[in-house]
Amino acid sequence: MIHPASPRTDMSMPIAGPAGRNGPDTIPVVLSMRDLSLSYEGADGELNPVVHEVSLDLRRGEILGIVGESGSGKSTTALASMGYRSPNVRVGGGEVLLGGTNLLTLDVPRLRTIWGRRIGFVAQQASLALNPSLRIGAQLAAPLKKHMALAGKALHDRQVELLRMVDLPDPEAALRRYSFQFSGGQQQRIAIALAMSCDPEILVMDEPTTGLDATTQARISDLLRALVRERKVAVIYVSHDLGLLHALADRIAVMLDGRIVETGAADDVVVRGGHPYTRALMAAAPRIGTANLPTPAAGASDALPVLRARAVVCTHPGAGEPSVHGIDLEVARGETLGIIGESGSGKSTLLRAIAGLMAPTAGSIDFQGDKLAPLVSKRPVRTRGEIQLIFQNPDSSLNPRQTVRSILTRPIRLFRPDVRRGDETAEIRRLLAAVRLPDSLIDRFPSELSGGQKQRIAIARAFAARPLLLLCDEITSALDVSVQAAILDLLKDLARENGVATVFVSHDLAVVRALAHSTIVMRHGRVVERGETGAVFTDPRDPYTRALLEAVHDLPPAEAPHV
Amino acid sequence: MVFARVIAIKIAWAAMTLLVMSIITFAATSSSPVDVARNALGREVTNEQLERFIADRGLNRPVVVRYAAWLGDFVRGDFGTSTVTGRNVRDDVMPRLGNTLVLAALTLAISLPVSLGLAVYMALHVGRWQDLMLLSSTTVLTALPEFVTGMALILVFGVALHWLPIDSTALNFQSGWSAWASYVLPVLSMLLVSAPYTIRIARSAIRESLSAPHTRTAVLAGLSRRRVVALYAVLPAAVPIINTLALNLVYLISGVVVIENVFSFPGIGRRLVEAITTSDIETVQAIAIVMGAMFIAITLIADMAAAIVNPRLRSK
Repeated sequence: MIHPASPRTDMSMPIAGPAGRNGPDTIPVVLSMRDLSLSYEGADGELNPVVHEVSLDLRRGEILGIVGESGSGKSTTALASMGYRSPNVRVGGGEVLLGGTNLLTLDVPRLRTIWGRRIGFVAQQASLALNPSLRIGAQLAAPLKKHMALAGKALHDRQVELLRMVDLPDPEAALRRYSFQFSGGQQQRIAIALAMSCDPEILVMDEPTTGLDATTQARISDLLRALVRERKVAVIYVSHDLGLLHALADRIAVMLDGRIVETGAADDVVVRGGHPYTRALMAAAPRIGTANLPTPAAGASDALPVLRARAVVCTHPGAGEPSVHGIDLEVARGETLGIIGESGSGKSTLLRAIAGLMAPTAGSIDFQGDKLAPLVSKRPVRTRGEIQLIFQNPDSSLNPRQTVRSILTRPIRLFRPDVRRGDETAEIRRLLAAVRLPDSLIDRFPSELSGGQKQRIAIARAFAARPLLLLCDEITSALDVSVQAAILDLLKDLARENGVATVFVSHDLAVVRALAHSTIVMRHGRVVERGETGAVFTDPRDPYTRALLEAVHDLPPAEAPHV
Repeated sequence: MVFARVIAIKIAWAAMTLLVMSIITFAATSSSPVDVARNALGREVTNEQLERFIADRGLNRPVVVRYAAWLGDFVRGDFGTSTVTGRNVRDDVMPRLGNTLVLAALTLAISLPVSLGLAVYMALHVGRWQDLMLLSSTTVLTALPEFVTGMALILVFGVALHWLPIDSTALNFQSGWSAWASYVLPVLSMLLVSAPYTIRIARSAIRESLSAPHTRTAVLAGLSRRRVVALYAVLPAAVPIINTLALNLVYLISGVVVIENVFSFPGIGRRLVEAITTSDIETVQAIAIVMGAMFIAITLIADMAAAIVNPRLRSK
């Protein structure tokens, strides 16, 4: 029976000791999924199974991590643990028990007395999950009025207390502001305050820190640990990041194709994980600590650098402070330069200036020894082909209405006088082979390809022009871990084979570490540290670099597989 | 304050637009002094009469001076005297403007709640038969020209059923119910022509925000359906809806020309057509300026309303 006013009537079992990795059997189970199966119903009424017989127990005061790649069914499972299904999701069987009640059998009005009251939800990307048209105060007040019948001063005090709980500066003023007036990390804090507003027993979090900077991510994780410790809330934490879950979660369930392939204490799963998929996930995750640095580029030092930037300053129109504050850099043939920084560090602006998408306000950029025109429209066609840019998200950088063939034909026609008209198809096949894609994709549209395949097409498009300089802007951050590794390998091979100079911008330290020969760390538009990648990562001199490195949850090396 | 500054800039722009519009109107409607005089005095005039007329009216002054004088009079509320009717243009146009404004206001007052209600209903039933039926009806109605809609209404409610007057001239000399009855068919045809477009835009805007992550956050906070729809689906969709309404209002002001003529409605649209056919330049100028000022005022109000419902626009 559900009593919205007294949410913890079911918690009659004695609580034996602190939650955590020790003695979990004595801690009461607050939520339990039994043989849960879910399907998507297509437009034609056909059922597509997405979750197969998932059974999970969530105990009081623990963080249960669910890890998997996109399409593994982890988010669908997390939402179903609240009794929520998207309109096209059908329950194939099983139950979700919250204190003896099967949430899957409740109607929506009954579920509304549970949502926000006994189970809180935190979505990915708080910038989209908060209402842009309502003040923070109004958004926080809604569940408090509904579930706790708070009003007047009691309501206001609770709102302030919640924002204070998530360490938001100046809570009084924050109540009167709108979500877009806060940074990404602050928005996620507000979203957590919203989910925690009525002191729920359970918090369901769907990739809550994905897209945030490493240091912001670490601060949110600290906040979550404190909430679990102080309020004994039980957390389901969905993520694709095994390293993050290893550091944060008490237990981890690994999902693959809608099934839980492995579950256990976080350390057991990560260090001694027996399932091949877990091991594959771990092997694919780029690490900071392990060796295998990229081999030094041949003949990098003596020749003329492909790219040389001197004292580049970029100021966005209307902004007072420059976002790039006098940067020098050099990249030689076959060399990869990594630029690390958090959002707002100016790393992407610098890349845009080199690409000619934004004119620098001061300084010079030389390409192959000649001064580059500040804007791409003023550069000769040949130079435009020789400098290629790959963007973060292939969904927005590939035209959805063009087939792979037309996407790749265009740069060939523009930049490749050596390929005669009519011979483009042969060149496209060569390019597809180079990015390890089958010929059969040639007449497909981007929407028919997976995320990794799309990014390979974007890479093929860049290489179609035979570039001398490749500019990569966070090209792996929209991809799954296992796909990321393959894309990085591909890029490494292609850059080496073609002798391309590469500038690789990322906020992901491990990715830069795996790819770059030398590395620059940027902060507030300035270089705080530069050097050979190995030196920067093993012996950082700047405190900011050290803080960045500490914020990353590196996975321990996997032990040899058990037979 | 930023908001006040934004508004001040918008008002300054509106004033500039109005000024440019007055120049275009003046240039487009001014003909040579001789033509004006001939038009006013008729064919049987002597050269002396023409010259005296031109001198009396100051038509021989440079065009810039004439424009300045004309604009000055206009700003002071003096719309001049019609050379065709010999009547004061302002006294002629203002009552008709009043009629047209009542027509537009009635249409808007009915269209807003009806369109919004239908749009919410459709967005909540996307893809189901109710939605598809309403959607195809709006497509058909949008495609019909206003004189066809107007004629169809006349045939059904006026000719076949005898419920309502088909001619709104009664407004000129009657009051009470029969005056109001004269509004019914014109308002109905304006609604049928303008509301479907608002409904379609509002439906897709609300549909989008219904499936937005912030709406799911609200649902999963246990908020009531009514609250979720009003504050999380309709409110964030308000900007496109307001912009569409403004466009619609602009349409109502210009589409009114056709509708008023179909129903012989004594508004400025009908007066404009009469003035054009009689080459009544002063009246045409006055109505053109009044309509233009209304366009600009509506756009300005819509911009401000959009800024009020969307805090993002306010802070920019």
